[in-house]
Amino acid sequence: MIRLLVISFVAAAMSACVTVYQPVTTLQRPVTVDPGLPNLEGLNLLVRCVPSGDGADQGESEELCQNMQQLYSNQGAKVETEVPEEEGGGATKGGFEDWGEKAKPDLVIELRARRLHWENSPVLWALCYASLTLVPAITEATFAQDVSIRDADGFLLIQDTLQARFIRYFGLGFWAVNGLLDLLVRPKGQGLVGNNHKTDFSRDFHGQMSQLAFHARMRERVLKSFEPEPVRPVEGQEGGPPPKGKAKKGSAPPVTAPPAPPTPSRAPLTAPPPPPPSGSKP
Amino acid sequence: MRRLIAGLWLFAACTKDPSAGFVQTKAEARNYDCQRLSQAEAHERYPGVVPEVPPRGTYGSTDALICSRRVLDWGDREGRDEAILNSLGEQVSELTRLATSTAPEHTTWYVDSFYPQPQVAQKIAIAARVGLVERGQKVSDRVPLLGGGDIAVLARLPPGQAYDLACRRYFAESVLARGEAFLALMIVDARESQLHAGVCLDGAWRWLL
Repeated sequence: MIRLLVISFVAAAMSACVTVYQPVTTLQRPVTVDPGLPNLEGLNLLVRCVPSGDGADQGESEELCQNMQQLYSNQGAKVETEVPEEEGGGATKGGFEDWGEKAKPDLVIELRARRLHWENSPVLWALCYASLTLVPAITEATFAQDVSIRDADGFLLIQDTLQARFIRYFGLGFWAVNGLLDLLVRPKGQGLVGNNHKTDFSRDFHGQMSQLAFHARMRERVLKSFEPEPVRPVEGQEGGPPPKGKAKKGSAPPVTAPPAPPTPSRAPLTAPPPPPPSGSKP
Repeated sequence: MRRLIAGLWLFAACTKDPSAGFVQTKAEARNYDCQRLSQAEAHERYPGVVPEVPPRGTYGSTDALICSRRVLDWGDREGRDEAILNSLGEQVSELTRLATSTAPEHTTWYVDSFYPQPQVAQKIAIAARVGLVERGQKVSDRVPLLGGGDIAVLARLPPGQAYDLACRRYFAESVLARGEAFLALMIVDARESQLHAGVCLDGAWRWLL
């Protein structure tokens, strides 16, 4: 019986993790596009996820690219993804790209992850084990995602860096107290235990990436003086995108209103792209 | 012993952590603007708070997370207004830099902004005027206006045509003369939170960004 209790305690202690996500730079900025609407209708996008040592390995980059493909496909874009074999391989770096026989994309979105900070104190781990995990061990990491969006000719339209901080508390005491607070005190959506950090990060990241892509699209249109976009017939349909509405503003030239809500069937988004620190990286 | 003290210090420091936890919710934690700096840079900026880097190096963390509480919480203002106003300085600075490079010296500038919220539109226009003055330009307080008939036509056109036509009308109606330029700042789609700008000079409209 005692052995069972000990095993249960150890099992509970080993899984008692609370990961807290904190947006550091720009991830908490308000988003004005709805990632559920076809904001990028008719666009050909190339999403390039560049693996980079500490930030994202090959597998994580592929996962990120798949995630972005789904995000932008849901918004009406035709998305190609590319994960170069190694850092710098196949990346634009602002130069002209020879597309050869490949279809020229409207926008090239390049993502590079960096790990800015990593902290994992062995002293705290010793204290944690000595106190039977009542004192939490804290692992902290800050990641940056550099985003650059260019047109097919390599002209830089948008450049931004999104930073997120993840703090992982390992300890039965911390987990139990937060679990109780989630259950009894914290309002809905403010909980810390479980996969809340993934949900929150995913919402912020998808929102910002959608906004950046939309801004790049608009900037490209403005820089081309609103040249009419080439009509690309959608499979099974004829004609181009629907005409946009107009909103009148005082004595000023008009500000266009958002297009009518679309109704294509959309697959739900999957798990968030870059995982929080797992402690597996030194 | 030093390691133990460092560990205890780290644990105690968690009480000041800007992330969500026992003392603040996730929504409250989002109201901190943070940046990570190297210890040397952080010491230079906040010498009383961040200690100097020891000449023989340190054990463990050598950077600092610098956070400041926002004056207005996220959500106090409408999202698009917040996003525009939050980066107004940088956006306007870039746009006025581009604008001044398009016109000859001694040009008199007129500025207006086209944004759905009049209060925010006014802030954008004032920021642009200030930006131009800071660059040594001559700026007028007057806003060039067109007649009702022009407005009725312009309001029906998409932005790509409306601003170009408006510019020609400004010149044709002598609202603007030679040696005068009109800088317009606007959003062209309601889903945007970035500013665009164009310059009307000698009857020709040119988009800047």
